[in-house]
Amino acid sequence: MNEQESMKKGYNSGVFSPLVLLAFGIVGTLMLLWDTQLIFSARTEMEAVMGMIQKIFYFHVPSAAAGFLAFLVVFIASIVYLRNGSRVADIWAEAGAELGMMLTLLVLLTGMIWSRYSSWGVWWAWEPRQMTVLFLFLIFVTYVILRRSIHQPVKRGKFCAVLGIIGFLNTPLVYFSTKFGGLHPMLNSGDEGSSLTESMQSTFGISMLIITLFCAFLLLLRVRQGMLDDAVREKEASS
Amino acid sequence: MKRTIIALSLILLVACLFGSTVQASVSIPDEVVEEIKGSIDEARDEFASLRNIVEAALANPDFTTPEAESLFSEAVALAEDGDYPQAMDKLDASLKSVEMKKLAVKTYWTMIAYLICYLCFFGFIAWVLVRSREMERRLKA
Repeated sequence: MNEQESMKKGYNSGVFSPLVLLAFGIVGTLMLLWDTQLIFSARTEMEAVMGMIQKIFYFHVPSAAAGFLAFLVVFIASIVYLRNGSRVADIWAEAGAELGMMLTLLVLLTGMIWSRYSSWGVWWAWEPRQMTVLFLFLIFVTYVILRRSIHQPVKRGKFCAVLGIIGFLNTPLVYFSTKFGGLHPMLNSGDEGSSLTESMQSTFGISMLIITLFCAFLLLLRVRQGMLDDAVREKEASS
Repeated sequence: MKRTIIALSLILLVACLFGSTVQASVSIPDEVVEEIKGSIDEARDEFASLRNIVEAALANPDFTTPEAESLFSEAVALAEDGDYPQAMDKLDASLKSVEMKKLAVKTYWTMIAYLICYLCFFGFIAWVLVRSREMERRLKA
């Protein structure tokens, strides 16, 4: 059975079966709602200095972490594609790039709100963490545009794989950007935004787990759509 | 003449006695004066430090309110008249008004941030599902 045939069956079986995805989606949505309720409940203390705006942190940081994981998927899938030209790997890379781009956009937007209404007082502070995240976002915007601009599948796959690898190599720069100075608070550094009490830490851990799982569901959903796209293209090309 | 002098002397004596009695009853001991001065200085210092805090809070246009500004002006006017207790109450009320606005603004923007996150997540799901449905339709056709 070649890759094309296994892909045709793949989008309706295993983790890609509609029923499994539906169950995953319902459970994920309920957990996301419960997590939001937990964040705003009295169980999670209000941060003394920043107040209510600090609650953004429980979505902002997990979104950034999930975005990094999505870009890791792009990186691995791109290497696999460059090695053996696997169509499935290309679909995973495309799905990871789109999801990662959306999550990075969320990180930028929630970060801007935090920046404006916490201690910085401005929407955009031109500081290293903000700039490196913006740069990462723009690389993957370019990736998505590039994918839609090249119609020849092999050429598109190769160009995007190279860009995907370059894009992922920017993530350590984002992670370590706080070492270059700037205002962005760091976890466990003892400065503002990192002074988490026990209840805050447990809520943060729960948010991290739930948002990562929810993003895994989004990735599977998007991979399934990529497989369907491919099957339709194949069918239309053969007829 | 002699009687007149004696009478005048007596009147003068009575007047002096009366004057010294009145003075003694009106004059406040130095310790009490110092105590009053000290408490006025303390009230002025307290007012000045709270005034700085409120002024700093009012300087942020995101959190200031017309009510807080007018209460602050009233407090300053009362302090100029020396009514520090009332002035402090007004400053407290002004600060409370700023704090309320701060909580409201921060809550509003936190909700906006969460709304953006939910819209992105469920918008992404809707977009993927619509496209998947379209592909399934084209596959079956």
